Amino acid sequence: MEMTRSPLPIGAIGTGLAIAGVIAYSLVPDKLWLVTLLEGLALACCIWAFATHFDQVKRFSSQRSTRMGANSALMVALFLAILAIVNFLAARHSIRWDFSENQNYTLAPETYRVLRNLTRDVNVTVFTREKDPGYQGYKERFDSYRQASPKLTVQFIDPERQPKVAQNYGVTRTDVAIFESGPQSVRITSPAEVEITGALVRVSKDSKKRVVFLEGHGERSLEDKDRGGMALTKEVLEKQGYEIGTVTLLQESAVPSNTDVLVIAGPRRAITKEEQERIQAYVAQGGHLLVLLDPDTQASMDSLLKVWGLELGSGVLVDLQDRLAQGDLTALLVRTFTDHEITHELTAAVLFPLARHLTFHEEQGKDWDYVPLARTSPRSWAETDMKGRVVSYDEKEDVQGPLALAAALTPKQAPEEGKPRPAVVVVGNSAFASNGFINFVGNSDFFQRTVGWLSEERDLISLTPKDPAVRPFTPNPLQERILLYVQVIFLPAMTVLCGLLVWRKRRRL
Amino acid sequence: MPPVQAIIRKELRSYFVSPIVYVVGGVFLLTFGFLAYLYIVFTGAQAIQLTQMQGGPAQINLNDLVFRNLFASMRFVLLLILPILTMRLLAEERKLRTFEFLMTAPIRVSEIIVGKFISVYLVFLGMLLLTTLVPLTLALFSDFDWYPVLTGYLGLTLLGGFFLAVGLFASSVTENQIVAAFTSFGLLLMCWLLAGLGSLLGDTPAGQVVSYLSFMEHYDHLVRGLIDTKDLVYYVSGTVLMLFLAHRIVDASRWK
Repeated sequence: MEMTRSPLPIGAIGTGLAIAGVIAYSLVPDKLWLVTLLEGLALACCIWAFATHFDQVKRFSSQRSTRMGANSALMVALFLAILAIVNFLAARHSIRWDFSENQNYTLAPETYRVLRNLTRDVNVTVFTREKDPGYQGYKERFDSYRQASPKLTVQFIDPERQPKVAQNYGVTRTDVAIFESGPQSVRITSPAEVEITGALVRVSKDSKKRVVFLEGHGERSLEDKDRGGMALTKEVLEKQGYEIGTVTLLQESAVPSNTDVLVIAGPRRAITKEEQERIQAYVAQGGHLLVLLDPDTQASMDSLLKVWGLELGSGVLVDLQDRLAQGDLTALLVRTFTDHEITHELTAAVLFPLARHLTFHEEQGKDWDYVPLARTSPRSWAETDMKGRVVSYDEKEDVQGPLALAAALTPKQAPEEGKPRPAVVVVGNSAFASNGFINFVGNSDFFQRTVGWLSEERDLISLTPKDPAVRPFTPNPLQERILLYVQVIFLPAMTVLCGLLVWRKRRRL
Repeated sequence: MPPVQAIIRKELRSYFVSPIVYVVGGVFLLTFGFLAYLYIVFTGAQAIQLTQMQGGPAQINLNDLVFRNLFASMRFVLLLILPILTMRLLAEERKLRTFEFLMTAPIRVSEIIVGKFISVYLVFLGMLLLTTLVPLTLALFSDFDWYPVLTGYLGLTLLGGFFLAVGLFASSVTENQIVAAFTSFGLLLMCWLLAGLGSLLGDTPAGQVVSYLSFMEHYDHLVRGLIDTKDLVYYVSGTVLMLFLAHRIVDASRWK
């Protein structure tokens, strides 16, 4: 019996070798000899196949279907290219209409003004991961900012996937955006519009905002690297793009004129009357003051605070509810904030170890807008007798919570044209901003935002935070049943019934 | 009667005499209504939880808690249901050998494709129209913003069009309806997963292009109430591309 020898499928072998070469290259790119060998063999096979089947190839290429197929492939390629160009242009020059309930995609007119006036390019690097709470916010916000200004370039970095970049920038947490422009660098920790626009204003200016700390009364030192010092806090502020300085008002006759924010951080000894007058004069001329006072202080600033209608309560705040899980009753973990530019979108609680409360006297402070920023829970009070281990609420001596322990003040009347607007923030605790606690996410956010709010030219960025759309709806049992009948039963049942009718009618035909 | 109109009439008639449209419609409406009902009932409990959580972004309203979630869930429902609506469009013609009649009839391939697409799109729009009873009944008892709901519906309309065009393309490559349904399901699923690949590639040009190719972000904008021309262009060009590919496939059967 004669055996018919089938020809070797040399073309298929060649194609297989070529694919194997590509796979080998992707698996072991350093073994170039193997890849070269495979691809060389593949080429030889293909040439051989082409030479031995030349007539077939010639016949195939001259076929009508081949020509039509090539023609069709070309048309598809052209069509794809056109669509790619159209989409590219559409992505570059898109127009948007914001119908979202809270106008989430629309920037405030002040932001547009800031973007229009940008004199140089700003690069933003956002360190965030998809699972982080700020991710979506940063994406949406920067999308709108990019749309509004070509001077802004934004890059998103996942610090887990690119730890080297995060390390180079000194980023230790996520949801951080670093703005860079010229010699300036500013970092923010929230995608709030007021933060981003504020950072843009700061980063695009040559001169840095100057934050000056008062000295001479046992305040927490900027050079002290211990838990109670503020060396780390200074570093945090410098990373934010501030210039840090100190002032001794006993030597100076007034607060230096280039001071953007004056900070009094936990004084222990009395601040003299003259000094207090100088501070008051500074605020009256449009200065911005941040006062951090602990419960046991001897700073005797009462008369100065009285000018703005403020009074510091006696005793130490204790809270049965909002406190550190393992800490004692005075380690407050405050999570009740009033909606203000400082506290808006503040997601983490702030840890205040040993704090005191503030009260506001309407009559004395009638010219000022008072906003209590943070409050203790209803299960709190100001404990006046801390002797003994067990503390309990004493109706006669203690003050029942909730109590304010941080407040912001601005004058009710707008300043004269061209003059800065004064602002004061008082916090009944200074330890929260010290080395030992500043790394706590809520603490650094609260402190940075407070300094940020005080240092900004608020007449320029008077962005009012958008109110969250709160329209809760809890259906009563009757409404719930109506919704169930209409949505879940009636509509699908009607459709199925129609189907059954059609089916019966057709069966009869 | 113009050829396109004739094809639409014929297709619509065959849809409404077959049980497919009623079963698909019933399941679609049941899923839409049931999901809406669940989200509404859960919203009450969620609202209480969110009010207790101070400091967090407390957006307690029906738009955020019901409609956004509802529209987001519906894309998966469409992914499962629409391939069943489109699977028979061309595959059945091939199977029943009526395809040759169509090819030899005095009618252009583009008219066949457009006619078939419009007919199935009309069926889908009809189903979508019936779902408006859900927000309408809800509006009787509660207060919500209509604009994001309308943009959500615009999103569903555009997404549905794109899905149906993919289904039509899948139906053009085979004569087996099950294969057609699975092909379009697979293609759509791949298009969905491109979003994951895009985020894996990160904020690189390749990552941006891959993310752009997925319908996820484009749909998400519309669900959140943002109408962006680039999203509209994406859907229209995606739909047109799929119809064009279906056209090329059907046209190829003339000279193959």
